[in-house]
Amino acid sequence: MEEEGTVIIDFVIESEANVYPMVAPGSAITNMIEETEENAGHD
Amino acid sequence: MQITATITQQPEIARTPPASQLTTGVLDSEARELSGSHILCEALVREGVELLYGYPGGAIMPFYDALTSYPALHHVLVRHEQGAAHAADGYARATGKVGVCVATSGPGATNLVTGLATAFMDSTPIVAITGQVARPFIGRDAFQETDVLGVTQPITKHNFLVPRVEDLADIVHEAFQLARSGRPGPVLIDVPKDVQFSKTFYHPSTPPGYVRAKPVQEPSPSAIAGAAQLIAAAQRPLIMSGHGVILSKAFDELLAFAEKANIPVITTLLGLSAFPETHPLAIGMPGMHGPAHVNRAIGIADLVIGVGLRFDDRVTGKVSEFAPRARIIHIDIDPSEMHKVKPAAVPIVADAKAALNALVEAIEPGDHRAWINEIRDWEAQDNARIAAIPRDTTSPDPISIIEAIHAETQGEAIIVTDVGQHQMWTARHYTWTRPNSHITSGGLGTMGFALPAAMGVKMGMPGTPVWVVAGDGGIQMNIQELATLKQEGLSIKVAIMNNGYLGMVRQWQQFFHSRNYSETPISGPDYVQLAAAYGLKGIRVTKREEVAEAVHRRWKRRVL
Repeated sequence: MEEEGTVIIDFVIESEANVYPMVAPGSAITNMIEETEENAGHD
Repeated sequence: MQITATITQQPEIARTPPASQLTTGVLDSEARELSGSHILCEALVREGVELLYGYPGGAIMPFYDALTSYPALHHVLVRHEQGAAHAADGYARATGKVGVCVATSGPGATNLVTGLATAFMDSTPIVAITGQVARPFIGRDAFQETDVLGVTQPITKHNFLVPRVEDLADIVHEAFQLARSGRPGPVLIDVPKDVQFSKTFYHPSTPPGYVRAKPVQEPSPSAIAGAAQLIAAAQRPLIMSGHGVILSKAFDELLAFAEKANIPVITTLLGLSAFPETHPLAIGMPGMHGPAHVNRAIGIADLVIGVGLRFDDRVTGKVSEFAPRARIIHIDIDPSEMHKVKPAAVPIVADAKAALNALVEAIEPGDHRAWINEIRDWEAQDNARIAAIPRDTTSPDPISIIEAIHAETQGEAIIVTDVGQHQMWTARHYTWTRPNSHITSGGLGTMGFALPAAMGVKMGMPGTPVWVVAGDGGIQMNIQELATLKQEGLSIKVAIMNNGYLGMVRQWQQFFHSRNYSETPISGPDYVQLAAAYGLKGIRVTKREEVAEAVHRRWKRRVL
């Protein structure tokens, strides 16, 4: 019988990738920080 | 740490019954004299328990002594009690059954706390069994004594200290009933060591002695009529689907309601996979990291139908500006959620499945194509703008990793995420089509959740592929459970998004703390070597073109 076992894949990603858009805590959700060329990340 | 020998005098110490008196998991209807520890095992078998996650120690030793006589109860020896609670949580979320975790008194019990709080915040049914020092020593600062009832009172649905062995079976059955009924949640049973030793007659056929009031399941007809009126009058309605839809298994009912009403569906973080994202009415996740078109839609909606959710602050942002033009229909089984955050024009206290069924019957077919097209236009404009932004193409891209995992699994895997940036990338970019395929710590936001929770998921759903997606911070918080995964021979894929930072905190520091990256750079082990040290396989991916192959690769190995 063959089985795979648990496998770890270590993805070394860009260190300063961000999640966009982002809403500042306490702000209205329509007040979003969106991704631009200046803050380009990964969303 | 959890070995104690300080309690030498035990009242009513019972001998282990002869093998002929044990049921070994087969219930019979004749009363027999058993010790508390055997009664505990009998009651667990009677509740249908097959898996327990735990760690032995002094005050729970009689239970572990009895456990060897019950092969129907598969005990999984975790490497830290927090892992036991998360594993029970993952098992419960994946299967809909009650998860069980076990620990000794003192540090064993307090190590469960984060897992219990995680389950409490996300309404997961868990029964936690803790040993307690013998009754004569309670309150005397005995070795490994902690008032675990006091500690866990705010983070459990209910907790019990078993006062007498005669009460033990009923308490176990009530604990399971409480954990799974109404709004599910964790229940803790604290069993003094001398109660575990004490003997009494156990009557397996006797029904539980008392059951608390049953929660309301069916919606009020007047509330349904009121909701139907609002739905008929709405021009820009939205359905917001939460975890309650998954807990209620109301997938078909949600689909039928959305299609008949022709209303776009938003799914919260814990509601992801309640509604197929390939459906034309699925528009995405709301809130702090929701796509812009979803949050804009909420901003101008005239009706929000919240189903099985609690209007969490990560969803609403500034509450006074959340859905400012909308009236709210709020469906939830927990009456305490009504008006707690957002006043509801029509509160419907009911099980999500029952309420959606009633709404399907009560409403007329709707037509909101213009509204849906408006939202889709915003989405297309946003996507085009984002696609035009130049970006680094050399290192593995988080979104491409998630998309590769989806391509590999075809949406049929259960994905367990930790907490942080990777959690949001996964939530946003895995296309959720299989009901209840997304498991994460939403309310408490518990880093370290994913790896042990995935163990419970895999053991509850052994035929389903299970992936963990975690950051390099969170994975190190319970990484000791790799030993348990190896011990149990489980096959799980663990994808670590390794950016050398506590990424979400770093992101907040970038935007809100003047780029003062205080204590967020974090080092880690060589994960390939670490995997090998645990007897597992590992691979490192540093280039984008290697992502798909790494996700697709098979590590078959021969086993006996």
